[in-house]
Order: sequence, then C-alpha cells, then structure tokens
Amino acid sequence: MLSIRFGEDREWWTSSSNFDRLLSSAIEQGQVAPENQELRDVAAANGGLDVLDTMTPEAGDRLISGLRMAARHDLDLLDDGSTNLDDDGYRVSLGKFLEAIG
Amino acid sequence: VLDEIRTAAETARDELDNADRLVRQADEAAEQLECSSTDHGWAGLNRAMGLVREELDKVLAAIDAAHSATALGIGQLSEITAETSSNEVAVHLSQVRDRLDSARRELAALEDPIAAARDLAIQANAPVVDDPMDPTERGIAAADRSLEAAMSLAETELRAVASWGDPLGGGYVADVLGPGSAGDHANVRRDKALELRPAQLDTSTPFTEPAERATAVRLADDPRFAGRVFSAPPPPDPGYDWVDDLGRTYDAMGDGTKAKYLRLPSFTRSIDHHLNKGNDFTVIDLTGYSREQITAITNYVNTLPAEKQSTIVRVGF
Repeated sequence: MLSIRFGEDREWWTSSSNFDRLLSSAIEQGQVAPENQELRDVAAANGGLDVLDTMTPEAGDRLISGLRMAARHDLDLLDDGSTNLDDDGYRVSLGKFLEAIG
Repeated sequence: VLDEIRTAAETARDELDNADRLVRQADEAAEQLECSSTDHGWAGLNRAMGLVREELDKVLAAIDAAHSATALGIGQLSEITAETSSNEVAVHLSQVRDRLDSARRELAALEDPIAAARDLAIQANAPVVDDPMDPTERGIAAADRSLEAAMSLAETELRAVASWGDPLGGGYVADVLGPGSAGDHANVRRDKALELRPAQLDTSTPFTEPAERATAVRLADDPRFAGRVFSAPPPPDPGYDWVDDLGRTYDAMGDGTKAKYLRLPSFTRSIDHHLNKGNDFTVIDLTGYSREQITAITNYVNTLPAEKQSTIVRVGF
C-alpha cells in the first residue's frame, strides 16, 4: 500500500490503483495540472509520497485542494448507485482521504 | 527429460525477454507522445497515452512476474542431481511445475491489458505504440506454449518418479498426484514435504495491484514462507496487501518498474511509516532498482532497531 503524506500528521493509506484513479480524475476534471501525472510513478517507486517535500508549499496546497474537489465530485458520482467492488473500494478510500486532509 | 524441461522453460524465458523489450519500446513511444502532447496542449492524446501507459505497466509487471517464476523453475531443476532421492526429486519437480504454472497464470492475465493498450493506441492514431503489440502477443503465446510443454514434461516425470517406489515412506508424491495414484502410500513424511512446498497465491482472491502481486509471487520463493497460502483481501482494503493462512498480514512497498523515480528520503520515510502501521510483515521489494539504489536502502534498513528489522522481509536486495 502507499503512504501518501500531506504534512506531519496527515497521512492517507491507499492502494496504487485508487491513488492513480483519484489523480487521473482530478487531472481530467481540470482540478490538478497534467504535469502532476508523474506523481503516480513517484509514489509507486517510493512506497508513498511526501507531497509537501515533493513540491513548493503553494503547489502542494493547490494539489491537495484539487484532489479534495475531485474526491468530492467522484463521491457524488459513486453515491448515485455504482455497486461494483472496485467502486466500493474507491469510495471508502476517498472517505479516508478526505478524513486525512481534514 | 530434465534437459527437455529446461530447454522448453529457457525458450519461454527468452520469449518473455523479447516481449518485455517490445513492451518497453511501446511504453517509451507512449511516454514521448505523452510529453509532446503536453507541450502542444493536445489533451485527448495526452490522456490516451497516459491510459496506454497504465495498461503497459500491467503488462510489464505480469511479464516480470512470469519471467521470475520461470527463472525460479529453471533454477529448481539444477537442484536435481544423480544423488537426489526420489522424494527430493518429487519435491523439486513439483516446485518446477508450480513455478511454471504460476508463470502461465500471469500470462493468462495479459490479454485484457494488451488489447486495451492496442485499442487506445489505434484510437489515438499512434502506430508507433500499436506496432509492437502484435509481435508481443505472438511472443507471449509462444512462451505460454513452451511453458505448457515444460509443465507437461515435469508432470510426466513426476509420475515416473512415483513409480520408482519410495524407500523413505513417501507421501509427497502421493500428495502431489492425489488419492489413488501410484505414489499413494504411507504418508509418513507428508507434513515435512508440505513444509518444503513453495508458498502459493490463492488466485481466487483479488490480487489486482500488479506491483504487489509481483512481490507476492517473488516472496513465494522465500523458504521461510514455504507451505503458506497468500490471499488478497477484497475491497474495501483493510490496511494490508495480503494475509497468509496463519492470519499474518503483509504490506508491500517498492515498484522497480518505476525505479527512476526513487527519492531516497521519501523511500526511507515510507519504510518508517509502513513499520509503524502494525502489520506483521513489511515486504520491501527492490527488484528492478539499481545496484546503487539497493545499496543505499540496504544501508538504511541495516540501521533500524532489531525488532523493526525482524518484521521486514527483504526481496530483491
């Protein structure tokens, strides 16, 4: 699993596929800049990611904000009735993400 | 017969090497298109190439796992000598057969991601990405046929070993062949033989993450886990990657297919966080990382307290 760290006490444990899915969704929605796509590879290579050490504080804040918006958007879509197991896992993981970033 | 098994397995391994090279060629082409489309603001092509690369990552991870399993099977053949007892020959042959079977299961999962990558490349009008797909599929099919032939030979030889009789009381051959077989007598050494059996992945459970699956396949070779069965939890995830039949949890980290993105401080912090998470084992897989990267990570792991190190399983160090 990946340890995605947004600061000292903010950590999101997730699978590679759920992290990829949120990041790709955020980019697709225009919430996060496309050049951040590389973060999925950085996270995979490092067993996780230190967001605030990987980029400037401003860029880190923009990334977190973009991911938050995308997560809320995806949760709204999933709440509309998807029932497959992958979506269940993604929904739970998004909940943990939103809880982690506060 | 052992030479024939080896030749067939080595042919499969060579075909997998070629397939790996072709997929990496396609991945590099997709990466170049992804970068150039970013520069030109072609969002559709950029998105398509990102998706192609996700599919190709799955293909590479499965080929890597199949290659590792095949290489382990070939190595296992070398353990058989003229002095090896019938029980030990049976153990080695069954391990060879299981390794090759594991490799074939990995290859069976390749059809969908290859088809998806091809479709995406065609839709994006990117022949430079699509062109290597056909020879890749042919190579994988050839590897699968060679593995099937090697498995069949191993199975035949295993039955022949059973017919030699079993001066030590047997059991393992019977266990491998099933009730009523030529080897079905006196299971005196059954427990011991089971201990020698490599760990297995319960493929009825969802090992859906390619990197973690590849790590679990590699871990199955570790004799400390012989006889265990690894099962992946269904989503939503409970905080680990897989659990064994003794209820022990495993969390994996490391993906050598992305080694060029390694940042040592981030990796070592991830180790610390994984260790604090409370799973029974943290499996650090450095397969595919460079020698320098492995040395740096090994040096860090060696500085950890003994009780922390005891929960780390090193793969590919």
